[in-house]
Amino acid sequence: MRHFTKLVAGVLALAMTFAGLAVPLAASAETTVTVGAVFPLTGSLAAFGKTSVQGLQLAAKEINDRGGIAALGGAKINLVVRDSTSDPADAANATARLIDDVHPIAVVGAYASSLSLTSSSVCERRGIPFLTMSFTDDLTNRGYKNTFQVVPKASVIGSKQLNYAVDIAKAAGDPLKNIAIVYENTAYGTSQAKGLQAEAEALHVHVALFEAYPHGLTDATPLVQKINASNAQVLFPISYFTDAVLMIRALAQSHSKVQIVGGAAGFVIPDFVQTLGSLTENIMSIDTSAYDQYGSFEKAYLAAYHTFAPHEAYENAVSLFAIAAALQKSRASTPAALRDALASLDVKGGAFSGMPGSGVKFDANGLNTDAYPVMVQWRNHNLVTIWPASGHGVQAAVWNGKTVK
Amino acid sequence: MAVLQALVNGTLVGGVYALITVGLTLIFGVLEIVNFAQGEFLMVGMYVAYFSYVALHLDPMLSAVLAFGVLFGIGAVLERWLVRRVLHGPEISQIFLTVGISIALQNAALAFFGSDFHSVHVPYQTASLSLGPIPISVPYLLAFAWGAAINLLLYVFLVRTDFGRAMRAVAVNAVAATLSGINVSRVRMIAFAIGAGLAGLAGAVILPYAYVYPTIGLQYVVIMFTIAVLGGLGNVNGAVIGSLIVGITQALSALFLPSALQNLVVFALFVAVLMIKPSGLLGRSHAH
Repeated sequence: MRHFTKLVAGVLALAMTFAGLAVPLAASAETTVTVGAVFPLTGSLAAFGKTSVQGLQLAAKEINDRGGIAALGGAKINLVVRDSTSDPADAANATARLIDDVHPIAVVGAYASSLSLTSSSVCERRGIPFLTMSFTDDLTNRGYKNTFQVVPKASVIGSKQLNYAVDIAKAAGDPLKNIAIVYENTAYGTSQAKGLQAEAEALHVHVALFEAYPHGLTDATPLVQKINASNAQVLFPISYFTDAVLMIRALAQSHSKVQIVGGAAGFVIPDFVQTLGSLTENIMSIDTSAYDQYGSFEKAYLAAYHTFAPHEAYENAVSLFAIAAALQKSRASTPAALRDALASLDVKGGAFSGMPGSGVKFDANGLNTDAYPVMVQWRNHNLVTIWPASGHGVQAAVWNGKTVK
Repeated sequence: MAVLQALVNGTLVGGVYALITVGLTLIFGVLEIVNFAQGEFLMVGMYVAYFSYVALHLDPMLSAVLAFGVLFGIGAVLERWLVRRVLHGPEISQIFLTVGISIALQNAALAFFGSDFHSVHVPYQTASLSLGPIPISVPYLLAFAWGAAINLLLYVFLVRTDFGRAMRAVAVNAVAATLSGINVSRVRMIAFAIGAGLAGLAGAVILPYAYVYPTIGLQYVVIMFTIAVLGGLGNVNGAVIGSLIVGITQALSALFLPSALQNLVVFALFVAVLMIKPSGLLGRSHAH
C-alpha cells in the first residue's frame, strides 16, 4: 500500500513537472523565433567568438525592444548560443546538437572560416539557413542553397587590399613597386593571400616575398628577417591577432619602416591597440565594415562593453538584422521559407548603413553583392575609414608621412 | 651577414627555450612523471606578470620573481594533494592527471580572466641594441639573460647544495636515497614546485614580446616537449643544449626554407637523434 502511495505521488509530481513545462512552451511558440548562434567561446579564437556573440545579443535586444517581428505578431528573437570551440570538427558537432535541441529557424556563425565551413555543411544537410561574416571564398562556391555570406569574400578582400594600397600610394606620389605578402596557412589566410597575389600580377607589382607560416607562432624573428631582406615598401600580413603582435614588435625591433597593410581579423580589434599602443599609428588594414557609420549600434556597444564595436560584432548583428527583415517580409515560419525570403532579400540603409554599400542582397550563391571592402587606418588609437575616397565619411589617408585625399 | 643575424637570433631564442623547458625536465628527472600541464603553468605565470603590471606597474622582469613564487606554491599544493597519489600508479593515470590539471587551468583562466588577449607596455619592448650591423632585440636579450642566470643558479643548486644533491640522489635511485635518510617525498614536492615555478618565471619573462590568453600554453608545449626529449628527458644540461640546437636550427633553416616548414628541420633532426640515441642527447638509458 505504501508502495502504491509513493508511486502515485511520483506520477503526480512528474505530471506536474511536465504541465509546468508545457505551459510556457505552448505560450512561447507563437511569440518567439529561435535563432541559433555557434561561435568559438573557448580555445584560441575565443576572444573573437565573444565579441561576435556580444554583437548578436545587442542586435537581438534592439529588435525585441522595437517590438519584435511585427509581421509575426511581435514575435521576439530568442538567441540560443553554443560553443563551437576553436576546432572545426567540434563546430560541426555543436551545430548539429543545437539544431536537434532547439530547432532554430536559422543559425549564425562561426567567425573563423575554418569553423564556418564545417558548421555550414551541417546546416546545408538539415536545410537550415546559415548566415556568416567569415571571409573564405569556399563558403559560397560550393553550390550550397542555405549559406549566406554578408561580407565580401576573401579573394575580393585580398585583391582590394592591394588595389587600394596601389591607389593610395599613387595619390601620395610614391608608386608601389615592391611588396611582401605573409599569411597564415589556414582557409582564411590562403584564400585571401591568393587574391592579393593575383591582383599584384594583374597590376604588375613585384611580389618580393610570398610566404606562408604556421598559425600560432612563438617567435617571429625568422619571418621578420625575411621581410626585411625582401626590401618591400609595403607588407601585407594576413594574420589573426596573435601572430600579428609578434610580427609587429619584431619589425619595430629591427628598425623596419615598412608600411603595414593588414588583412582585417587581428588588425582591427580593440585588443590590437590595447596591446601594441602607439606602434599601431598609421597601420592600415582592409576591412569589411565602416566603423564611423554604425549609428545607434556603435553607441549601444560602447555603453555595454566599453570598447568600440569590432567588425565581427557589427557584421554578425547585420546577419540577425537580415533575418529579421526577411521574416518581416515573408512571415516565414519554417527554415525553408526563411531561406527563400533571404534569397530574394534586398534591404538598404538603416541598421545596414555600417556595411560599405549599405545594403544586403544575396546572389544565387548566397554572397552579399552589395558589400565591398574599405581601407581603414589606425590614427591616435582610433580606426578611421580612408579609402575608397568616394565613400561615406571617409578621412584623408597618411602614407609615408604624407596626407593623401 | 644574414647567417650571422640568424645565429644571433637563434641563440637568443634558444636561451628563452631553455628557460621554458628546464622546469619540465627537472620534474621528469626527479618524479619520473611527464607533466602535460607545464604549458598552463607558463600561462598562469604570464597572467601573474600581467596583473602585477596592471595593478602595481611592476615590470615583468621583476614580477618574474613573484610569478616563480605563485607557481612554486601552486606546484607544491598540486604535488602534495594530487600528483603524489599517482606517482606509483600506472602511467596512464599520471597522464590523465596532468592533462586534467592542464584542462582545468585553461578553463579556470577562461572563467576568471576572460578570453581577451593581454600584454604589457614596457619601454624596452621594441628596443634593440646594435652589435655592428646586427640588431639585437632587447626583450629577447633580457629573457636570455634570465634563462642563463636561472640555469646557472640551478646548476649551482643541484651540484653544490645538500638539498640539490639529495634531489639528484632521488633522481638516480629513490630507494637508495630513502635508505640514506633522504626524505624522498619532500624532495619530490620541492622539485615539482621548483619545476612549476620556473615555468611561471619563464611566462613572466617572455610577456614583453608575447601576449597571454587562456590557451597560450598549447602554443609552447610542443616546443617544450621536443626540446626536453631531444636533450634527454630528465637531464637539465640536455635541455639547455637541446634548446640552443632547436633555436639555432629554426633560425638557420628559415633562411632557405619556407616559414610554413619552420619546424621541418627541427623534427627531422629530432627523429634522427632518437633513432641513434633513443634516450636523447644526454639522456641516460633507462633500465626499467
